[in-house]
Amino acid sequence: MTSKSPTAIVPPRFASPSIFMWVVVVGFAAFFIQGFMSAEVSGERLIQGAGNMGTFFAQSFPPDFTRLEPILWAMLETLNMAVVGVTFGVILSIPFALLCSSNTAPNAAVRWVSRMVVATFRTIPDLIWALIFVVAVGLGPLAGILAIIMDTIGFCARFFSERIEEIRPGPSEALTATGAGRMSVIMGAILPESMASITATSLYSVEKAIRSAVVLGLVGAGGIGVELSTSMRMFRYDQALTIILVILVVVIAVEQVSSAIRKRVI
Amino acid sequence: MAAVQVASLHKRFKDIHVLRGLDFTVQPGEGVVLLGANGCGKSTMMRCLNGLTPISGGHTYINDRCLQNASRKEVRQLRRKVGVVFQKFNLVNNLSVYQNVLYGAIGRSPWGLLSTMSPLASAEERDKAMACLERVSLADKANQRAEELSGGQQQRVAIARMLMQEPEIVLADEPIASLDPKSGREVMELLWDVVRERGLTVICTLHQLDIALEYGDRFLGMKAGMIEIDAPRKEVSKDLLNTLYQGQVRVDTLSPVATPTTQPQAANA
Repeated sequence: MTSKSPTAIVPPRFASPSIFMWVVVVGFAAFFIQGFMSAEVSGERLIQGAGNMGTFFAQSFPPDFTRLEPILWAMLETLNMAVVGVTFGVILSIPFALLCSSNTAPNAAVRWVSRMVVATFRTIPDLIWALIFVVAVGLGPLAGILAIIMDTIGFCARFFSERIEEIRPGPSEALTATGAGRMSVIMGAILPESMASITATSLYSVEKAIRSAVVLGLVGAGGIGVELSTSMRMFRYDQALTIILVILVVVIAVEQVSSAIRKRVI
Repeated sequence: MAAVQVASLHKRFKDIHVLRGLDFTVQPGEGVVLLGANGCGKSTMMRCLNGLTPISGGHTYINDRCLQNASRKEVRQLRRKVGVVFQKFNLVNNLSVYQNVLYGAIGRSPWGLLSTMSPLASAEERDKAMACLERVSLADKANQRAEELSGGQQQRVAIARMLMQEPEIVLADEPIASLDPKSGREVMELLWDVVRERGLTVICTLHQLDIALEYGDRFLGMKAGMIEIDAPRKEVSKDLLNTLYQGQVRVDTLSPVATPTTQPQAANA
């Protein structure tokens, strides 16, 4: 039962958009139309594409399980790459996160530099890291592991640092008040307070790393991607389907395990 | 030797002048209760005493040692002598009660945090921590996570942590403001008992006048960033203390004053 004051103005049904919104909308529309045109989308091509998909599935059925053993070994290598890469990545992310957070960085310059470094790690896609490391250390899982380490730091250091910045200041102050040094406060209060979130993020990055480890093989960085790309190039679509099924099962299994652990931690 | 001394202490947060020239001295063993309305600067003043909040002017002394002229290492050494009990307990929530109490020894341990981690702590420190928990009647909760305890119990753990620090001076900033009246009284009684049996100096801010009158030997009253009342127990009455809570609007600014517990963050920013 609110009474209207005589000076109140009823908001209009439609507010006219600001100039900024006009620029954004027109810019987006122009970019979208140009992109759609340059992709040369035509009904003919789509129909042809659907036909090719049909050919692929027709040739890939039934899946060929004769090479299942080497495929499983390659899948294991992929898992190894993901787990080893994420483990090192998470361990390295913690000091990076501490240097990036406003409440733990020694000074603004260090914070700015570490944020730039982490942003660079994150901005360069994992596939490009893999290409670089294949050049550096040669074909094989080591290049994949290194690529995953970089990708994990880019992702984890950022999320760890966000969590570290939003924890309650109280416990750290309590330790500071006992005469504790900076490192003691970080290790004794700040990390324990953010540990649940750090664990959850790390588990998520395992899932993420397994998906990317699969793809990294395509550029020669070890694991099941190598098998997949070989089968595709040799038009052995029945073998390719087996590989895709193995990937599907493993990725789903890892996600289930990881989310089960996460539920217990949080 | 004075335990705590404050000389023309000023504190500004940007354009808000929170503390406007405080002067007082607290002798060893004295039990001081500090009163004042919300926003009068009590908590800020308490945080200035052990250097958690840097001051804008004047000096503060712990055991006659000036905090403003001390190096970072010396400030840490001075903080070891000053136990703090916070309004919000400030325990590390997902660690055990026992570990939280052990943390009290960080400042005075040779290896800092390492020598107070439960698996690495010396047998002597471990026994001390249990003794502190027994003193606050929570020995049976040692293995529980701090966050599982009630507010009153958490504040008792915080008192145990303070005892573990073996301080000479205790600063208690509204130690019972977050508690219900019954546990508030219990905690206040416990706090005053442990402080008294060890002969420690204490400065305690309180909101409840009736409780305040039961404890302090000496009363400091703050109003708008200045000391209005400084009187021994026999000279104070509830009526005198009540004058602190009248006309709460600041003279120099009519803008609402942030509560002192949130101000320090602005200072750190």
